[in-house]
Amino acid sequence: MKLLISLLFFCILSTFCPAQFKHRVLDEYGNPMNYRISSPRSKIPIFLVADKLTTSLRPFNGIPNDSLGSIVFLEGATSVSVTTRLKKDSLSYYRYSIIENDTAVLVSNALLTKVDFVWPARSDFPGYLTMNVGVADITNKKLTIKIYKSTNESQVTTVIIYNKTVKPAEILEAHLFTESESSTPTNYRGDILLLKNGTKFRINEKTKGIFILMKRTDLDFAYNVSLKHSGSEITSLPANWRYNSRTGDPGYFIDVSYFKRPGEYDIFLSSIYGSQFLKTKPARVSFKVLTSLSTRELLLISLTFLALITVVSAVLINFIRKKSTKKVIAAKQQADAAKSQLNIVRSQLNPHFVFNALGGIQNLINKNEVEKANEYLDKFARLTRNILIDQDLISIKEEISLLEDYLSMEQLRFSFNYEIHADDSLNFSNTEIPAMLVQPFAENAVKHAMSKLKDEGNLLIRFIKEGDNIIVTVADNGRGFDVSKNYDGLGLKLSKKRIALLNQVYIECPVKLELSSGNSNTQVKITLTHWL
Amino acid sequence: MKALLVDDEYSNNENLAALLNKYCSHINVIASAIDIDLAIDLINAHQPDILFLDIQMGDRSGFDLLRLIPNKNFEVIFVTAFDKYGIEAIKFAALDYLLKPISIQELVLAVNKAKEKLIAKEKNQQLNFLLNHIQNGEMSPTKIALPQLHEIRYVSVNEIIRCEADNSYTFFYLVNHDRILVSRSIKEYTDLLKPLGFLRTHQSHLVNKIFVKSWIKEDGGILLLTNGDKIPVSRPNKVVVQNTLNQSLL
Repeated sequence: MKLLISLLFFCILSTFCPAQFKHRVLDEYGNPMNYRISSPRSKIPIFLVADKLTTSLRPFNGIPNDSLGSIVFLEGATSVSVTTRLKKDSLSYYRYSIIENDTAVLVSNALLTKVDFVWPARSDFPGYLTMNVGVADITNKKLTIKIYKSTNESQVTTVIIYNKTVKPAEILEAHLFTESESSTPTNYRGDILLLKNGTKFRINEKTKGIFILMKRTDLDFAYNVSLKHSGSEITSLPANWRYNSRTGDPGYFIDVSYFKRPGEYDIFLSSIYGSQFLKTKPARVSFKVLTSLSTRELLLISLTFLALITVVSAVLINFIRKKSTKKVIAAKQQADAAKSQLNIVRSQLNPHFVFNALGGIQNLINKNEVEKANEYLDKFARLTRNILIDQDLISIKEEISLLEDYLSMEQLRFSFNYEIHADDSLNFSNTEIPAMLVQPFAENAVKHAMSKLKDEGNLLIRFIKEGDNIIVTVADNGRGFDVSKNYDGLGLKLSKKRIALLNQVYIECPVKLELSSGNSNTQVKITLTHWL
Repeated sequence: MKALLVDDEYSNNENLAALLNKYCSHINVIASAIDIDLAIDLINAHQPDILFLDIQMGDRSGFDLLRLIPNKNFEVIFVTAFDKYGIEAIKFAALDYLLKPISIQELVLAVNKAKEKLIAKEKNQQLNFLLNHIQNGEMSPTKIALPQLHEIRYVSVNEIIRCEADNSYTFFYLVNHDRILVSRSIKEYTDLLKPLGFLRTHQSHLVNKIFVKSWIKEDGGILLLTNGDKIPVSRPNKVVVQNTLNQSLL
C-alpha cells in the first residue's frame, strides 16, 4: 500500500515536476528501471537498477574536478545491481574497483567476468557484452565504483551511489586573515581574527581573506561556499576545498576581493546539487565590513588629488607664463611706444628748411637753371621721402647721402664748405644706425655757424670706428654755444629726446651725446656704444 | 624705341615726355594715356617697346592694366609717387621703378636697362611673377625674384635659410645648399623679408626665423640654425631678435 501511494505520488509529481522526480525506480509495468548513471562524457556506460524499496533516485552528472564522475542519490534502497556495456574484443583491458564508504575496498582493480547479456549481431550494440559489475547491499551506504581501461588509467569513470541521509554541513570556524606589517615574502606573518556571527571589521590593503573550516563529511565536494552581500546578491564561489592535513577537515579560502564592499555579509555552505538536497538550513556565518578606504578608492582619491594638483599647477604655470608673456608684451609695448614716439620726433620736418628749400628750387627755375632745379628737386624729394617712410634704421652710406643731399640744398641758400668722412674700416653700406640721427646737428651747424661764416664756414662730419663703438662727430668753426648754459634750441631738444627714447629701445648699446664748444669751434660727438 | 606713357595726371606724362626727349634721345614717345582703357587701345595699336606705367591711377592700378594684356611684348618701367606696397611687390619681382619727381639720372639708368633687356629679348617672366604676387592680395608672397647676371632665379621664401652681406652684394643660402649672389644690398632684402619673419641679427646677417634652432648666449649672442650655421647677434639687434623669438615661442 505504501509502495502504491509512493508510486502514485511519483506519478502525479512527475507530471508536474518532471525535473525533480523524473527518475522513477520502476517503469510503468512495475519492472525496475535501468538507469545509465555514468557521466555522458564517459565512454563507459554504467547502469543501475535499484530495488523496489527505493523511494527516491536522483542522478547528477559531474563531480567537481572530475569530468568523468557522477553521483546518484538514493533513498530507502537496500540493494542495487550495477552493469556496464563493453565491447567484447576489448573486455580484457577493463578493470574495476568498488569502495564502500570511502574506506572498505570491496573490489580492487579486477577484471569484469560476469556476462549478463550478449548483444546479438542484429541488435543495437552488435559485438557488445553487458557485464555485471555487482549486486551489492546498499543499505545506508556510499558505494564508489570506478571502471577504467588498464591501458588508460587516467580516464577513470567514477560513479558514486549514495544511499545515506545527507547531513547538513557544519562550519567549524571562520577566520579573517590579515598580513602583518612585518611580513616579508620569505617570512610570512599574519594576524587572525576569529569571526563569530556579527563580527565587524575594516578592510585594508593587508587584508587577505577569510578562511573557513567545514566539518568533514563524505560529500565535501557537494558543498560550496556562497557569499551574500547586505541581503542582495549571492555569489557562489568556485568549489576548491583544501584539506587539513591533520584532521582532514576541508577548508576554504575566500579572497578579500569577494567582500571588499562595506556592508553585511553571510557566508553559506550550500549544495551544488540544489537547495532541496539539504533538508536543513545551510550553515551560515555573518560578518560586517565597515566602511574604509579600499586600495582602489585610495588610488582613486590619490589620482583625483594628483589630477587636482596637475590642474592647479597647470593653471599656475599658465598664469606665470601669461604673466611672463605679459612682461614680454609689456616690454615690447614699451619698445613700440618708444619707437612710435621716435617716429613722431623723427618726422618733425623743420618747416623752415622745407620752405627755404622750395624757395631755392623756385629760384633755380626762374634763373632757367632747369637741370640744377631738377637735381635739387631730386634731393629734396629724397630727403622728404626718407622722413615720410617709416624707417628706424638706415645704413651709414644712406645717412651720408642724405646728409649730402641736405647740405647741398642748404648750399643753395649760402655757400659754405662741408666735408663728410667715414672710416674705411666701417662697413658703411651694411652697418645701420638710427635714421636721421646726425642731420639735426648738421642743421644746427648750418643755422648757427654756416649762416654767419658763409664762405669761411667749414663743417666736418666724421664717422669713426673705435673698438665696437661708432662715433659721429659734427664739428664746425663757429662760435658755438655755451655748453654750461644748457642751451636748448628746438633741434637740440628734439635730438636729446630722441636719444633718450633710443636708449629705451637699445638698452645694451646706449647712444651718448657730448657737446663741446669753444670760441672758434663747436663739436657734437655722438657715440653709439657697442654698436658693432 | 617706341614708348607709351600711362599716368592719370596729364602733367606727369608731359613732364616725362619732355625728360625722355631731352635725355633719352633714342626713345620715341609715341603716345600717352590718362586712363587704362585708352592705354590698352594704344598698346594694341602701336605695340610699344617700353611702357612707363603709373601704379596708382584713381581706383585702378597699373597692375590692373597689365593683367588685361595677355601678350606683354614690352618692358615696363613703373612710376610712382609714394606707394609702399606697390614698390614692395615690384622689388619682390626685381623689377625697375622710378619715383616722382623723376630723377634724370635714374631715368637714364632705367631706360638703358630696359633697352638691354629688349635687345636680349628676354621673356618678361618677372611681370607675370609680379602680377601673381599682387593677385594673391594680402597673402604673403611665397617667392622672391633674385636677379642674376643672365637670369632671374625665383626662390621660395621658406627655402631661404639666411642672407649674408658682402659689401653691397648679398649671398642667399638656400635649403638645398645653393648659395646665390645678388648684386643688391642686404638692407634692401631686409626691408622686403622682415615682414615675412626674417631677422636682421647683425649688420651682415639676415636670418629666416623658421630656421632658428636655438639661441646660444655667448658674447652678445649667437643663433644656431637648423643647418648648423652659427650667426652672430649684434647688440643693437639683440632686443628685437630676442623679442621676436620669444613671441614666436610663446
